[in-house]
Amino acid sequence: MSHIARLKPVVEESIRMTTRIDRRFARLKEENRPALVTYFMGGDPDYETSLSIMKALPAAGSDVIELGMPFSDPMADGPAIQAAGLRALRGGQTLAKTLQMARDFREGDDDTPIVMMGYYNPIYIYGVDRFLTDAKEAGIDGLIIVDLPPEMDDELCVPAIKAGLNFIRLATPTTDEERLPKVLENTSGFVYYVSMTGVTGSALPDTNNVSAAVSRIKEHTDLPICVGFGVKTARQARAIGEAADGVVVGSAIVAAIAQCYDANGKRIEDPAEAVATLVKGLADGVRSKQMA
Amino acid sequence: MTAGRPGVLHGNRTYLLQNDDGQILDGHSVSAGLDYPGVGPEHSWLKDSGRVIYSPILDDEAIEAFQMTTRLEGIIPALESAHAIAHAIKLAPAMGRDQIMIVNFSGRGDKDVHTVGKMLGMEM
Repeated sequence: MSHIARLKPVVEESIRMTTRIDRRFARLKEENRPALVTYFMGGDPDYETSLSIMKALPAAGSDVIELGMPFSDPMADGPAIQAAGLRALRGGQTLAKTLQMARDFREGDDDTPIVMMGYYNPIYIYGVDRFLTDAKEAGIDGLIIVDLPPEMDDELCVPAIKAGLNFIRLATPTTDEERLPKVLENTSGFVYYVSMTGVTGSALPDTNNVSAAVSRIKEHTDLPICVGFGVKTARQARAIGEAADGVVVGSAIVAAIAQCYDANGKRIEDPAEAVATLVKGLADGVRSKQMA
Repeated sequence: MTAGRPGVLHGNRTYLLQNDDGQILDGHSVSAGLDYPGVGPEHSWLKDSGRVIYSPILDDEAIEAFQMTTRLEGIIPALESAHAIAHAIKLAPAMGRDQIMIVNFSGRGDKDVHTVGKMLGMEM
């Protein structure tokens, strides 16, 4: 019996507050279309450029923004996002500056949900309570911290939920029926289904498998399911969007930013424009689902 | 242990080499097994509970201990163990003749011969 007791949410439903994420997914459900979730690395390659990219995302069709927090040891990320993190750190990005980016963004946009994504150590060093206070005040809605499993929920997940932030967890093809309830237990906002085993930016899997996986997870939760890791084109975004409540695109955006610079780091194209063009195409792909 | 502070990396909360923003700094060691920015969490606990004193050893000191043990004892110690031997060499002169010291040779140095050769300027 003891393990059944443990599976009850640590934080009662009444404490969970509605965030911009909840409101956004509710609206998209009314519109009957999946969300386009866009990831970029905060501070890549410098603060001002990165902020201009962030500001361009909603108009280009991004429904949810994932704001990457650079970390020196990004063990879940593939080459594209690893390189972006290193560029951001070389550009002087810190956790405090990433929070400031959200604050600056919020001056012109109070609707688009922002999820901060990254690794735990910078938050641990910043101080969990201080971070949650500052994140909430900066207009952050949710957190994805890839190196904190459910067993460590007391570290950050439960305090985050109490502070009114969603804590979004990743499920993968290897998250089996026994593990899934544990992973979903304190997850809120949405579930991020990682569509393959491996690091970010790897090859896209079979859409049929994704569809089956989304159905499997939906047996355990009413939360929206967003699928990512490997989505690069509008066609892929459309295919995933037909199976899931949202499509996450990360590495393709980060790669588009990198391509705006030549081998010497000289800017040859405007990254905000390049990202906007890419995201518009992806948004068209995602939105074409309703016509189908 | 002497230059780091507690952080979380690779699923461990332990002493880590890191900057003020929690970014991990590169460790360096001539010994591959020690070339990591952190230590096993049990070592952090042993340090904090005062049961173990941890001391740093320079690459050159480890290489010297490696050669000395090989020459005098006919035992090739792993470069990791050579760090312990180097510290033992520092401690021994201050000890009495009847005091006993134990050094754990945790691995063999056959694997490190190339590394040491390069460090000593040999063509391998």
